[in-house]
Amino acid sequence: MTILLEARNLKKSFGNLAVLSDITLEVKEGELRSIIGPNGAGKTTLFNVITGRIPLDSGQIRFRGEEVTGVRPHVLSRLGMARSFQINNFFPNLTTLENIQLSVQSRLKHGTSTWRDLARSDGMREKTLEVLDLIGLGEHGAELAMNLSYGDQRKLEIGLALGTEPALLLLDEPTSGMSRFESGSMIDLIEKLSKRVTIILIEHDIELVMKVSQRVLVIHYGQKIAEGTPEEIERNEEVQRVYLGGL
Amino acid sequence: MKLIVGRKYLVAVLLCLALFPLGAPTLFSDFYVDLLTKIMIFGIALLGYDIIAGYTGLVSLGHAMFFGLGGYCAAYSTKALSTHNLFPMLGVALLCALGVGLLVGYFSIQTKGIFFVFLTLAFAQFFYLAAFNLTTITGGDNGITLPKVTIGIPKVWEVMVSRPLGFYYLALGFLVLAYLWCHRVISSPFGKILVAIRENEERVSFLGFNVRRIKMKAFMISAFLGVTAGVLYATYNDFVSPGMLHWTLSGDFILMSVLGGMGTLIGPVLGGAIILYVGDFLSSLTENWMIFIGSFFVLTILFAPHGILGLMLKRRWKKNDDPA
Repeated sequence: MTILLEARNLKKSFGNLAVLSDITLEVKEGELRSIIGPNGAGKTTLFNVITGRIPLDSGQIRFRGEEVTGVRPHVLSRLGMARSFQINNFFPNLTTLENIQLSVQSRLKHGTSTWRDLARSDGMREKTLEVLDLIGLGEHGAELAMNLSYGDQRKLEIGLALGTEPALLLLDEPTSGMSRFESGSMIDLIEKLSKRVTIILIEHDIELVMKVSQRVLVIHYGQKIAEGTPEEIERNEEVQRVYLGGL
Repeated sequence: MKLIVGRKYLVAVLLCLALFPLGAPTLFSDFYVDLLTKIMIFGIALLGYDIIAGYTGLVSLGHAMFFGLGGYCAAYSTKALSTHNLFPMLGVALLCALGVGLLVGYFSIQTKGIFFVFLTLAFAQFFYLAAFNLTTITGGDNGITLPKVTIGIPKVWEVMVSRPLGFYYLALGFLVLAYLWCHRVISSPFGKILVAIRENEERVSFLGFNVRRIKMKAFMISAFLGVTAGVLYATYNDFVSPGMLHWTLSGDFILMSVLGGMGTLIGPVLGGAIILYVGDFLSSLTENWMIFIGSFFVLTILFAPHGILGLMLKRRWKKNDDPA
């Protein structure tokens, strides 16, 4: 299988604090890769440097065979990389439907036209409804995003990424802050998505990680301490010591 | 919250505006035709301002820069092209807006919030001071007098724009075109992105939109409408002076927009009408009329954050009481 994302020797420091020191990561097409590690391990920072949200200190990133180090987020998005955020980052005063529309619109031929009628754009309606259905918010289209339940907001967060028809989806703690009941439907959604798109998943819910991932990367203080299949990770002594042992 | 004025109301207002001057000679004086002409010219600038400030959320304190630029472009193109025709003046002004807009916009839109406010203010003041101090070119504080303008095909068929009636309908025509354009823009895919940028700029870029380019386009639309209004204002008054570039006028644009209701297109135009009318009325009563405008403004911000238009539409919503 071809390699979709290739990140080599990523380094990032904030002042004297090395948040990422020499992280290397390869993700194959169709894979579901999880990244776990204690709070402050550098997981979200890793997402931020991969998606161009913050600049790297050093290292290289290749995506779909193209060198994309230092490329801005909107360009990466157009190349097929999409992400969701750990803290809800959508458009609270727009409806659920309008939120998804914006995302779908980004891939339409006339998506930034100042002249055309949005509602009449080709495929707009179908694609928007498809994404709404997929994330299970088909009945909440007319609701303002800020009025959705928290669990539904987390799904909308992912829906915004899905509308851009990504090849690689980076999910930053999709179940964070969710109740047990709500996270159940989130797990179903992630499993469904993993059949359609390559996923990198940051997650604290170990059960979820072990269930859905093909490979797991464990980082601690910005360093890789283990990488392998869920079974290998469970057996790894160092991982047990720094992370899983506490559970 | 969405504030949309129904089409039938707009048509009614348009009809009233179209018929108004016919009653003017008997029912009211020409004074009101004159005032309405000014209100409509301001309305064109305010429509453009609403695209950048109301919809995109970039509150510029330099919109007078484009208004004044339009005025000076009209004055210069009269001399340089030795024409009295409005259309070449507009052409020159739009070209200037393109140049200045790209330059000022390029630097300004890279900043946000208070930095955007002050950068646009600084650029606008640069133009104001240039107009004020380069007396040999601009006439300084004395300004430049313009000839009476014509419309039509230059050098082939031209007709003098009569006062006050001809200019009234000219301004009305431009206002309607400006409104139709802005309405088209905000209903387009592009318009939806503007609102999204106002809501959450970062996420818009993560959806694959080039936020800077989109902000730039919005800035240019507001610049084009700003100079258009400026050309009309200067040619209507037959005069342009540095006052048209002054920051207090930029402040007035903000005041009018907030008072009427930002991000609604109609609101700012309404706000402009109220400020110009009430200002005119109050200034005939007292020298300190700004006190009243100021208090009115404070009350609006406190009790009607969506402006007067927001207040009016809210009442209508309550009547309809739409549960969906």
